[in-house]
Amino acid sequence: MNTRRVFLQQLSAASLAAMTTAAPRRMFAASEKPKATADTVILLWMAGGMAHTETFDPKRYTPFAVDIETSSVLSTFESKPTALDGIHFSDGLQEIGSVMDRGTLIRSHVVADMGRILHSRHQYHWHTCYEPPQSVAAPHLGAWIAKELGPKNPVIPPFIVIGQRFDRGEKEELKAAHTAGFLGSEYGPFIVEEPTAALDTVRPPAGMTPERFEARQALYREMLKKSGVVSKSIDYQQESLLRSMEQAYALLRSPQAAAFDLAKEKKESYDAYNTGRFGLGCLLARRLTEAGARFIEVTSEYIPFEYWDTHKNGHDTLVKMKEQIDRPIAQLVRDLDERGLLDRTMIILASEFSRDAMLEGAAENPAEQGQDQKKLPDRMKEKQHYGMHRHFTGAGSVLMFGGGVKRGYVHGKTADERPCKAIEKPVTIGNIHQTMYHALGISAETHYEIEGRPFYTTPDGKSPHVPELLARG
Amino acid sequence: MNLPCLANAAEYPLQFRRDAGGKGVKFFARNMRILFPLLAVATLAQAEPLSPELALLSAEARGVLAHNCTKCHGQHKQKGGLRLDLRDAAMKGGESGAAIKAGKPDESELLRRVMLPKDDDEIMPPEKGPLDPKDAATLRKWIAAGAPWPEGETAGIVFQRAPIAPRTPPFPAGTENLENPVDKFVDAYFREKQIAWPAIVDDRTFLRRASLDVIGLLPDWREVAAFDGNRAKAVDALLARKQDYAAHWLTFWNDALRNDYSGVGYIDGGRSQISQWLHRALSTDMPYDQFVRELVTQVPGAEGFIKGIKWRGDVSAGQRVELQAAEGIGQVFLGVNVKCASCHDSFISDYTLKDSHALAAVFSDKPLDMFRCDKPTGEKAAAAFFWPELGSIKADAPKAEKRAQLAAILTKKENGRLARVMVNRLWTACFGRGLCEPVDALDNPPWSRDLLDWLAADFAANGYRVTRTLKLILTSRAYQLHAVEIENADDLAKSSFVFRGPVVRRLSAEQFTDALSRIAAPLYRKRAFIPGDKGGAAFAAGAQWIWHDEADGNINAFPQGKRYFRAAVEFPKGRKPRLARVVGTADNTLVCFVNGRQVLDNKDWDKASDADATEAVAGATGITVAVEADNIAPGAAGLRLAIAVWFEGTKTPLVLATGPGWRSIDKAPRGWEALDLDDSQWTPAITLGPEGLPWGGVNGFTLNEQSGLVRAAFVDNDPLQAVMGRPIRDQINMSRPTQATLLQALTFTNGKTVSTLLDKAGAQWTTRFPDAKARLTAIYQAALLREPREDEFAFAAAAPADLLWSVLLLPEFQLIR
Repeated sequence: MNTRRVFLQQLSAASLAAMTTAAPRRMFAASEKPKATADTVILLWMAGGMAHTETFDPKRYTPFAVDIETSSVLSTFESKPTALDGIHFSDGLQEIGSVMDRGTLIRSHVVADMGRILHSRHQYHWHTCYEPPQSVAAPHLGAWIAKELGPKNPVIPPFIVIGQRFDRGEKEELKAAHTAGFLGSEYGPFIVEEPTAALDTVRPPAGMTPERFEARQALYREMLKKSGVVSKSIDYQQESLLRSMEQAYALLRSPQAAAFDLAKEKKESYDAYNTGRFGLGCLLARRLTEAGARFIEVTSEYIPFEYWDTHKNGHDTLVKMKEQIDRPIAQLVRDLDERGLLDRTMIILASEFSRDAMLEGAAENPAEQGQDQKKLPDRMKEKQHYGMHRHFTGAGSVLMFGGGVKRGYVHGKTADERPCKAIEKPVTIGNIHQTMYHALGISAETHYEIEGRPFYTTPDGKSPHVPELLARG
Repeated sequence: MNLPCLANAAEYPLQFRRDAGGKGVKFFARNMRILFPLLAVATLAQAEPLSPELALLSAEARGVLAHNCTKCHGQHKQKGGLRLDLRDAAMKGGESGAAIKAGKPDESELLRRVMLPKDDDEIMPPEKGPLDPKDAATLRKWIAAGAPWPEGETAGIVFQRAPIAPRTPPFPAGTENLENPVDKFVDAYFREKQIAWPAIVDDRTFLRRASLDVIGLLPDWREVAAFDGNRAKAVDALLARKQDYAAHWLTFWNDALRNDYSGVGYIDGGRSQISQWLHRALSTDMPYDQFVRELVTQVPGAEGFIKGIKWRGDVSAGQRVELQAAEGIGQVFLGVNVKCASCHDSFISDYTLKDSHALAAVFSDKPLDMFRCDKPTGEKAAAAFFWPELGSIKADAPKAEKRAQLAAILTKKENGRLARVMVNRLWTACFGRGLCEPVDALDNPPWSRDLLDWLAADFAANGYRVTRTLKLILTSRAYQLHAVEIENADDLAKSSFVFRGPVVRRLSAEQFTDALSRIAAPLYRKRAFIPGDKGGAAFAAGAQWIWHDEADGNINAFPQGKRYFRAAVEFPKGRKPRLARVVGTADNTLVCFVNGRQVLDNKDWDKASDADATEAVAGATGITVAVEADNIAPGAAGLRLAIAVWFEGTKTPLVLATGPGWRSIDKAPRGWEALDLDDSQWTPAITLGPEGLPWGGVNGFTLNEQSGLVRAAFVDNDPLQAVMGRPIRDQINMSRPTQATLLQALTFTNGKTVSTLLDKAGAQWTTRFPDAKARLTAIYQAALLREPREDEFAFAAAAPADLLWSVLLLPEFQLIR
C-alpha cells in the first residue's frame, strides 16, 4: 500500500487533475428519458404510520371486548366493499373505495427497518429515498422533480408542501427531510402551513394596498435604473437577484395566484372537502393542479403521538382520521378526473410505515425502549388498547391514481395472519419513486456529481420502476 | 472512423459502475486495475522494461485516456466498438478502423478528434472537447514515441496528489518593490499570464468589503466619512474587534464543524454542541494547530465535532460515528474526501476502504469491523493514518492516546497540508474563489502553488495565527483590486480559472440579516447560544428573585395576575453613560421600561432576554426601571432583572438589579411606567432569593459590554436565514448557494417577517428624520455608505418602509464588490 502511495507521489508531475466541483454537476444524457405520461404529482402523506389492516387491507374483524387476546386482533373495523370486485376496505373509507376503479392499490409496500422503527428517520427515507444519515444532504423527491422538470406554470412554485407546520415535535428532523439538499435551495419547498391562509403566501403583504405594492415595485425599478451598474453588469448573482425579484412580482400580481385562495371555491365544493386542515389541503392541491403546479405534498401533518401516530386508542383515533381523509381524497380523484386532469396527474397516498397490534422488533436492551414502544397487555383490558399501535415495516398500503397508473388494479398481497406481512410482489420506496419518475419522463439514469460522488434519484439508481403499475408498462 | 461518446462524459476522471453486477466485485476489479498496473510500471520486470521516462509517459497518456475517454470506450461501454482501457483493444481500434497509429500522431484519428474545434460534430469528448492542450500534447508525445503500453496494463487512473511536506518558495525575482508577500507572488503570476495589475477600489468599497470579511457587519457611515485612508490601520481596528470577529467567523466554523444550536440528532443526546468552546477559540484567536488538537482530542467542550451525529436506530456502516469523524477530519482539516472510501474504495482518489476505516479506528476502542457497501468484509481495521510519512499510530493504545497521536500527526510541522487547507479557506473567504478549488479537495492544482505554499508556510511558522494571515491577505494589493464579475457560476470551479482579483460575492444569510437588524430594526431578541462570560455573569449575579408582597410571601401560593415593579438610581455626578444593557426574566412574562421607554420583554422564564438600553439613558442623570410581570396562573411567581450602565472612561458598570429597594403594586396606576411617576405609595417588593430555587438556572442571565445587536450567528436558524442559504448543519457544508432564488424573492416581497420589520423601521426613521430628504440621505449613508446622487433625491417622497425595502434589495447592497 505504502509503495503505491510513494510511487504516486513521485508521479505527481505526471498526474492529472481530478477536478471535483463543490456544486452539483449534471452527469447524464438527456436522450435517455422515458416518454412522460404525467406532468404533475400530488403526494398525500399519511404522517405517523398508517396501519394497513385498519385501512386499505382489512383482515378478520374482531370487535372489542374486555379480555380478548391482543395477538388475535388483526383489524378493529369491519370490511366494506369497494368499486373493485372482491376488494374490501376498512369501514370508514367507502368514499375512496368508490373511486378505486380509477386507480391502483399496492398492498405490498415494504420499507427498511433501520434498527429502530422511528418516524423521523423513516419519513426522511420515504421522502428522499435515502436512509439517514447521509454524508451529502439528500433532496426531497419534490426537489428532484423541481430540478428536472422546473415549474409547469412559471408563476406556480414547482415544489409545494401543504399542511406541515415546522415549529412543533421533531421539527428539526422534519426540516431535514424537506430540503432540496445538495441540489440547492432554489429547488426547495414552497411551504403552505395553513391551507386557509395559502393566499397570504402569494399576495402582497397584509395591509399593503395594491397601489402601494405597485408603487414600491416602480420605486425599485427606478432605483435600479439610476444605479447604473445594473445595465453594465454581467454577474450571475446580480442576474439571479433581478430575475427572481421580477418573478416574485409576477407571481404576486398574477391572476393565477387566485388558485391559492380557497375563498374563491364554491361553497358546496368547499364543504365537500372541508374535513379540516387535511381536507382543505386536498382542495388547495386540486386548485393548484388546475393552475399548473408541478409537485404538491399534502400532509395529514406529523406531530408525535397525534393523528396517525397511534400508540394508544388506535381504533377511536382512526375513526377520526378516516373522517378526515375519506371524502376529500375521493373528491380530489373525482374532480381531477372530471376535469380531464387525472390522466396527467399522479396521486400517491403513502405513509412511512404500518402498524401492528403487537409489540414487534422491540429493542434488545429494555433501556432503549422508547416512549413510542409501549408494550400492550396480552389481553386487552381497556378500550385504549384496542387498535394498531406498534410500528411495523413488513407491509403497507399505497394508493396511486392517474398519470399513467393502471385503473382498477391491485398489486401484491399480504398474509391473512399476524403480522400480515407482504407475501407477494414487494414494492420498495425506491420502486415507487422510480415508477413516479418514469411516468414523469425522468430517466433512472438521472444523477449529479457532488463532492466527487454520483448521486442518483434513488440510491445508485438501482431500484427499477414497476411496469405492472403503469398502464403502458 | 466513428467515436461516439456519451454526452458529458469527458473531463470526468472516473468511471462509475452502477449496473447489477454486484458492487463489491466491480470495485475490487477497478482497484486491481489501478493498483497493479502502476506498481507494475515501476517495479515489475518486463520482457523489455520501459525506460523510466517512457514508463512515466505511458502512465501519463493512459491517465489522459482514463480521465477523458474510457467512460464510453471502456469496460462497460464500447461506443463505436472502441475500447481504450486495454492495450490490444486500443491498438486495434473501433468499427471504423484504428484510432492510434503508433509512431504517427498526425495519422492517428484519436488525436485528430480530440483537437477539433469545439463546435465540430466529430469533436471528442462530446461537449467537453477539445482536450486541454497539455493533455493533447501528452497523447501526441506518447503516440510519437510508439504508444508504449506495457502488456496486461489498463488505462490506469492516476489521481492527482499534492505534496504534503511544507515548502517555502523564495520570493519571485523583480518584486522587491512590493511590500506585501502576497503581492509578490501575485505579481509573478500576473507577469506569467501577461496581466497588467488592475486598479484598486476606493476607500468606501474597501471598508465595506474588509468589514464584512472580518466582522460580518457593514461599517458605520461615520467611519467611512471620516476615514483617513490608512487601510492597514483600518484592518487592524477590525481585527481588534474580537467579539464581532468571533460572531462572524462562528458561522464559518459552524458550517465546517456542523455545529448548530438545533438540528437532527439532539434527541437522546446523539449530538453535542461546541459553541462555547468555539466562541472562546475565536475570540481569543486560538492558534489553529491547538484548535485542531483540541477538537481531535475532544477536550471538554469540544467533543461534538468528533462525536458526530448519532441518529437513533441502526445506520449504514459508512455512517458510523467513527467514520463520520474520519470523514470530517479528512474534509475539514486535510482537504481530502474520504466519504467515498467510507463505503468502498474511492473512485475519485486513491483512498481505500481500509484507509478510512483505519482513521476511524482511532476513535474506537478496538479495531473496527470493515464493511464494503454495508456488507461486512470480515476484516478488521486497526488505527492508522493514511500518510505514513507523517508518523504512525499505536493501534493497540487506549482511545485517548490514539486521539492524541493523531492530533500530533495532524499538527506536526511536516504536515504542510493542514496549513495549506486553512490558508486556502481564508483566501476563499476573502476572495470568493480559492487558490485551490473546491476548498475541500486540496489535491487539485492551485492557480499559484507558490502563493499557497508560501502563505501556508508563513502561517505555520508564525504560530498558526489566523488573524495574522488574514491581515496579510487583507492588506495586500491583490485583495484591494476591483471585484471581478462572473458570468457563469460554473466558471469559478474550472481549473482554467484565471485570478484577476476578488470575485463579486453575495451577502451571506447572516451578513444580510445582521445588516437588516442594524439598518431597519432588530430582527432577533433571543440568542440560542450565549457566549459564556464570567465577568458578564458577575455583573448580573447580584439580581434576586422578587415579587409583590402578597400571600404571606408563600412562593407557591401567589395569585394569578399582573404586578408592577419600580426602582431608580442616580448616576454619579458628571458621568456620561456610553452603554446600557438590560437582562431579565420573569415567571411567567415581563415587559420592562427604562426611563419611560420600553426596552425588553420576555416570555420564557428559563431563558433570559437581554437588550440594549443605551438610547433610553442617553443624556439622562439616572435610570428609572419599571416592569410589568404577569403570573398567568396561581402559584410560583418571580421577577429577576438587572441593568448595567457603562460610563465614558470606565470599565466597571453601575448595576441596578432586583432585590431590596424595589417597590411593587398590584394595580397599575396611569403612567405606571413613566419616568416621573410618584411611586412612594407602592410597597416594598419581597425578596425571594438569589438564582436557584424554585427556578433553578436561567439561561443567558448575563450582562456584558457586547453590542446590543443580537447577531444572526447566535440565533436558531429561522425561515428567513434558511431561505437565504444558512444550511441545516447535518452535513459539513463549505459552500453556500450564491444564486438568488424565487423563494428568497418571495420572502422579501411578501413575507410577514420582513414587511412587519420594515414598517416598524420606516416609522422609526421618520421619527428620527422628519425631513424626507434628510431621511433619504441617512438611509443611503447607513445602507450604501454614500450620499444619494442628485437624481436619487426624487426617491425621498416614497414611503420610508418602501424606500428601505428597495435599497436593501439593490445589487449595490446585496453584493460585495
